[in-house]
Formats: sequence, C-alpha cells, structure tokens
Amino acid sequence: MEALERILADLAPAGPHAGARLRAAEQVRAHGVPSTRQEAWKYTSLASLKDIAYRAASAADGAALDAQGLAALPLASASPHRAVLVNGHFRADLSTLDALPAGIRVRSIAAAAAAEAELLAPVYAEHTQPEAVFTALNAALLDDGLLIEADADARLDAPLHLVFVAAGATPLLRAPRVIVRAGRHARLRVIEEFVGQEGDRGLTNVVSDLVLEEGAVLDHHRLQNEPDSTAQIGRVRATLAANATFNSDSVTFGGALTRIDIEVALAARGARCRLNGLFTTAGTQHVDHHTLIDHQVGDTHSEELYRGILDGRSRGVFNGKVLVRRDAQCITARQASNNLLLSRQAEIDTKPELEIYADDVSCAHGATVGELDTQALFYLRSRGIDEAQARALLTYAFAEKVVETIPLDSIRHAIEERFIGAGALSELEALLEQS
Amino acid sequence: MASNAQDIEKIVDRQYAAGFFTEIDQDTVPPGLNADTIRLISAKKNEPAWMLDWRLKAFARFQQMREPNWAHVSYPPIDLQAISYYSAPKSDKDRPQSLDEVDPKLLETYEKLGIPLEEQKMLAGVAVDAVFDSVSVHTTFRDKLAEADVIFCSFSEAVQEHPELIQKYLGSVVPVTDNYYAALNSAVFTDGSFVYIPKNTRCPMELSTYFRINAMNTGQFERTLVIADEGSYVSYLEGCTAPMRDENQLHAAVVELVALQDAEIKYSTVQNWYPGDEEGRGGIYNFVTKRGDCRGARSKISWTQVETGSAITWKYPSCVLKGEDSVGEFYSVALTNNLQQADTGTKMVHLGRGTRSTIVSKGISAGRSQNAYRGLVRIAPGAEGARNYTQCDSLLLGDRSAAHTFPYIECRNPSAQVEHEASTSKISDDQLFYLRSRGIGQEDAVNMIVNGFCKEVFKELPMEFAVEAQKLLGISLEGAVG
Repeated sequence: MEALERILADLAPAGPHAGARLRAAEQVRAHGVPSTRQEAWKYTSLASLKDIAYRAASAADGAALDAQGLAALPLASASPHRAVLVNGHFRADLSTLDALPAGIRVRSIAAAAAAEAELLAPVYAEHTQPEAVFTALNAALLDDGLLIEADADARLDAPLHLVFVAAGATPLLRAPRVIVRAGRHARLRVIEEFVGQEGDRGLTNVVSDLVLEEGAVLDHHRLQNEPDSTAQIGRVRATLAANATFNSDSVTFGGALTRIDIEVALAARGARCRLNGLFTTAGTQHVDHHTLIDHQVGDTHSEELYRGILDGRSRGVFNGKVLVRRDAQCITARQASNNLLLSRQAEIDTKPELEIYADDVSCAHGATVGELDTQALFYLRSRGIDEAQARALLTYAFAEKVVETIPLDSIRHAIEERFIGAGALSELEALLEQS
Repeated sequence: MASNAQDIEKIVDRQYAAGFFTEIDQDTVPPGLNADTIRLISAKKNEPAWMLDWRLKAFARFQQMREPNWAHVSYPPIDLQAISYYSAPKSDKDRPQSLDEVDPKLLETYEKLGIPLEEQKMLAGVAVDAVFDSVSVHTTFRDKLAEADVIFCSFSEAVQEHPELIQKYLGSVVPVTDNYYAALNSAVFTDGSFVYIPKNTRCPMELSTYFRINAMNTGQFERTLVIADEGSYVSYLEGCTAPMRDENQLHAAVVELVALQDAEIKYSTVQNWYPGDEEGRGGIYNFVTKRGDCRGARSKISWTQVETGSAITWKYPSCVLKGEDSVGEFYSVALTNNLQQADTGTKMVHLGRGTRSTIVSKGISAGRSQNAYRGLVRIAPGAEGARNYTQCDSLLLGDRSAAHTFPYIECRNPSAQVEHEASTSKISDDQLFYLRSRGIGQEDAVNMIVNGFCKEVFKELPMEFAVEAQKLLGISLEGAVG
C-alpha cells in the first residue's frame, strides 16, 4: 500500500516512546502488507484497500463532531459511564466519566503517556510475527487511546461504554489502543462500540490489550457497526492470571471489510474464557474472525461459539484455534462454528483448529454450514406468517443462541431490531401463541 | 524446417543413446536426478516416445516447483540427487512365468515378511501383483481376470499393451503440476499397477498389490491408475511393509482413480512401512498423492486407510465429486508412536448436484509422536443439495504425544449441508479400570479400547485386511503403554 509507506515515512513521533514507535514502523516495513499466500490471511484479501489514499488521523480530524452529531449516530448501547474517541482520539467533552466508583480510572493514553511512561512500555514490545503487522502499525501510529485501570477488588456494575467514531471526509487511518488492567478480584464490563458517519472510507486499526490479574472478571462486548464503506482491522489480546475469567462477545454488522483477531492467553491455573461471536453480512461485506485460545498451563478452560449469517454476495471467514501446550493437563475446550447461508452468492470459509500437546484433555469442536430449515419455514407459513417474516424469525432464532449469552439488554435489543424490526418480535410472539 | 527438425532429432537421439548405453548393464542406476536419468528409466522400460515426453515435461515443471512446507511435520532436507531412481530385481530380462521360476531369495524375503504369495493366493482368492522394488515380478490370476475382460497388470505392461487407455487417463486426475512430489513422481516413476474394469462388470475378485521397499537408497515412485468404466465395481487392496533399515527413504507415490457413470471403486490401504527406531532414526518418508475422480453420475469412490508405519506420512486421499449424485468416502485410522509424524486427511471437492461425502478419521498418538488431521471440504456454487459429514477423533496415549486437527470448510452453496465434528481426549480411565477389573492386562486392555475406537473404520475394510489391521495396531503400540 503506497499510502501506508507514505504514512510511515512521514512519521515523526515525539515523547518517551518515540524510539519504540520508530522501531514498530520498521517492523511494519519489514513484514509488509499480508497477502492471501499467508495462511492467516488465506481467505481475506486486502487488495481492495490498496489504492485508497489513507492518511494518519489526527485529533483535529474529528473536532467538528459535537454532542449533537454524536447523538445522531446509531448507538446501540447506553451507559452512565461513556468514553468517546473520535478517529482514535479521546474527546473529554463528549465523554461522561465523572460517576466512576473509587478504584476505577479511565484516562486517555495521550495523558498517561506523558505522566507515567513506563505504564505503556509493554504496548511497544517487539512485533516479530509477520501476522501481527497491523499490531505493529498500531504501535507505530499510537498517540492516543484509553487506559482503563481497576484496582484490586474494585467493582463496576454499569458497563463502561467506549464509543469509537469513524468520522472523516477523507480516508483516515485510525489507530486507537485500549489498555485494560483489571486488578486482583476486580470486576468490570467494557463495551467497545464502533460507529461511523455514512460514507466514511477510512481504516480503523484498533488494538485492545487486556490484562486480568488473579481472580479478576472482565466482560468484553465488541460491537462493530461502522458504515459499510469503512474497513476495520482489529485485535483483542487478553492475558489471564490464576482464576481470572474473561467473557468476550464480538458482534459484527457493519464494515466493508472487517478482520478481527481475538487472542486469549490462559496463563495460570483456574483461568477460563468464553468467546462468542455473531456476524451478519449482506451486500459485498467481508468479515473475518480469527481466534486463538492458548491453554498455557493445566486446569484452564475455554468455550467458544461463533455464528455467521451471510446474505447477498458477502463472505464470512472463521478460524478458531485452540492450542494446548505441553504439560498443560486437565484442560477442557469446546468450540463451535455454525453458519447460515441465505443467498446463492454468499460464501463461508470456516476452520476450527485443535493443536494439542498434552494428553489429559477433553477438547471438541464442531462446524456446520446450511440454510434455513424448510420444514420450519413451512410450519410458520402454515400459521399465517408471511415468508419474509418467517425467514426473519428463523434467522433470529439461529442468532439467538449467541444473543442470549450477551448480558446487556441494550445490545440484545439492537440485535433483535436488526433482524426483525422494532416491535415485530412481540407481535410475532403473540401471533404464535394464538395459533 | 524439416531438415532442421531432423537435425534436432538426431541430437536428441544421440544424447539419449549415450545415456542409454553407458548405464544399461546396471540394475541400479547411480544416484542423481536429471533429464538423462529420466531418459534412462524410460529406455530401460522400452517406453514409447510419448511416455518419455510426458516424463520430461513433468520434470521441467518439477524444476520450477518448491518443496511444500505447510504440513505439520519436520525433517532434515531431502537430497534428491542422492537417490537412485531405478532398481530392478536381478532377473529383469527373463521374467519368470510361474512361482517356481522366481528367484528363491525374493520368495524368502516375502516369507520373512509373513505374507507368502502362495498363501495369499489360496487364502483369499486374491490376485497379487507384487511390486518388489520397482518392477513387477509376479502376477497371478491373470487368466481368471481375463475372462471378465478386466485388465490388471503392471504399469509398464499397460504402457506397452494399452497405450490408448494410459494416454487418455494418465495425469487426468493428478496433473503433473499438482504438487512437488506428484511432479517428481510423474518424471521418474518406475512402475506400479494398472486396472481397467470394463462396462457393467463386477470385478470377480479383490485386487491386491503388495508394495515392498527392499533396496538401500532407492526411492520408490509408484504409479497406480484404476479406471472403473460405466456401471462397474472394483475393490482394490494396497498393503505395504518394509524391512528394517537405517536410512530415511523417500516414497512419493501417485494413485489416480477414475469412476465413470454408476461405477464404484473401493480402495483400501494398510500402510506399515518401517517407522524408524525409538529415537526416530531411519524410517520411510511417505509423501503420497492419492486422488479419485467421480466423473460420472452416481459414481462412488471410497478410500479406507490404516496408517501405522512410516517416519513421516503426508497423504490426503481425495475425491473430486463431479458427477451428479456421486459419493465420496474417506475412512482413516492413523496411528503414530515414538517419534513418528503424520499429517493426513482428505479433500472432498463437491462440484456436482446432490453430491455426498463422508469423512471418518481416527488418529491415535502415542510416545512422542505428532498426528495431524488436515482436511478440506469445498462446496462449489453448482453443488446444489450437497451433503458432507465429517467426524475426526483423536486419542492420546502418553503426555508427550500430540494431536492436531486442521479442517478447512469452504461453502458457496446455501442448499448444501456441511457438518464437522472433532474431539480429542486421552484413553478413558473408566474404561481401562473396567477392563483391568475383569482381569485383562494393561496392554491388552489398551489394545481393546484402541480397537474399539477404530471400529467404525475397520468395518469398512475387507475381512482379511481388518484382521491384519487389528494385529498391526497391537504391534505398533508395543511399548507405548506404561
């Protein structure tokens, strides 16, 4: 990508991490943009981004967005604790973080970098793996994002709602970073919601680094609802200490091209995670989820469920890898990838993977691809429900298995509405009860 | 132009002649891989010009290819120049007409392997086309097969006697450009088996070829071509054993199956080549390309394999389901022990309407071995109503063993139904305890459980093979149970 080379050439970082950022830029140059010849990018071509004249987003790029503009965006969730990043830059004026309880702190990375440089050192660790080129790119361009800290035993009941707004008249390369440090036995819930203004052609290159200390519980909800013209390449990395619990769901509706890598390191005994995902695509959308659950030690447990619904000429990709390291005994891992094709032109490529180097394990995965059950469709039609509604209802029923695990009403309702339309669900339920 | 062409021919002839005459008296050619080696092999086998051309074209393509490295296996680089590409038994020229005429030393080797040819003939009514190193030595039951108009002969004979069939089908399933090892095989293959079942014929017996590797430093490049014409049926058995050996040996075979309308091919393999010793020294590198083409409507190809041998197995028997309502099946048991590595599985490519495929794969890893299932199920846009069911289970014996599953599913038709499930676990303590409490020894108990685990695959094997396979599992697992 020419634009990328130009952005890297123009890079002139300042501050304590300038050297590290230049090194990260060097690694991006060394690895280059991934091609479909690389296993990790086999089904996702970045050719469509090649000729877009991206430039690096600055704080000034989103300055025009005000509270009114924000309210006009289709936000699915709401919470008293809200942090807004416009084009990757924190906007204190649009955020409401005053009501956070003691022991929970949310700061912009720009502010934290100046005050406590060593806090961010791990972010700039070496990016030697060619697959991680976009993480290196994020590090090279990183000048803002959010640093979220929860002290030991701190507890946040209402979710912390992070809103990432893509707003650019010209195609922007946005590189926000989220860092969450959940202290011992801390409990919190974070929503990362991605929205944008119609017609945005930028690339959101976001990385979330999540560190869970002993016994911490973190619920991480990701909602990708950028316009169908925006591209997103994101990565979520979680490291879990003993008895920590990480629950993640990744819901993707929007975006022209979305690639999300979710990597969980179960690094100490008793750590467990649940990764759920739902993607529904239409038109020419392309959604690629790569997940890696790394059982590094024994007595760690994981569960994973991803469901894809593909319409139009869209394409979905799922690659879920479960790795059990040597001597990591007493492991349970369950994984499922179910996919629904609604159109003759849609395509799904799924690959659940197991790589196991220990013997006392119980690991299983399953994958299915199919269309709507014609008998169920016939049943609903025979009850007087028209075809479109019947299909919507059955499609929603397919998604429900993932939706029901999301403990936030706001997100659940947003999904219901998307499938069935506002109010139609209760109407249909009433209809079914009558018949 | 004409005189030019003649000049060129002269030059070609001269090189060819030189290559031929300097080497002809040797039964094993010196190591090395180049166009002259290929000309030499072709000349030794008295092949027609089109066959040599085909080989040379394959070699030209091979030289542009690179060794694949995506499989989950590791091994030191293979020096293809150190391999001798042709080795024939002593009595090559005057082929024995009956068993009595066969070199008694060869027979002795067979007996040591425990599968005497005579016994095989009587026991199972099976025709045996035994490939001892690279040239067919002995073929039985030819007459009986001839009655049914079935052609079952060595590949070299088929090139001479049925050139029209070879020209039509050779490379039509596995093109020379398919992959590195298939291209190598196409260039240097020495012999193999050829089967043609005529229309509406049920092959009167199960056909069997025993491949053996017996000469030091000789790579084996076998080529098998099975054609089942419309409405025919054949069951083909392939079994392999090899004596003790210290050096790694490369085996790069190619198997092509063609099933025309309403035809069915059942291809069963028991592979028990030398796996190397406990420290991983020696053993066969088994890099095989096997593929079947279901060309006609309602045709069926079924692969069954029991893989217990070889230091490294790299093998994906596949089905291309072109014909409407054609069926592909893959049943596999792969057992690895000590430092063996296996990366095996299948590809089911659904192209036609109503095509169906079933994959059942059982992997058993013991010792410090690596055992991977790698599979692809591809549903093309035109495969209306296609159906796939995949099940792959792995059993782990020993905390240094490893089991991997890499299933690729690519679906481009909404009316297709694809199901995949996989599980990995160790041998159940409860089952072991139960058997032990009934007075069954540890080793027998493990054998029993492992055999139960593989039952679904064994029941697909012809009876004699199933018995052999069960014994093999027991032998291969010796020492794996603590």
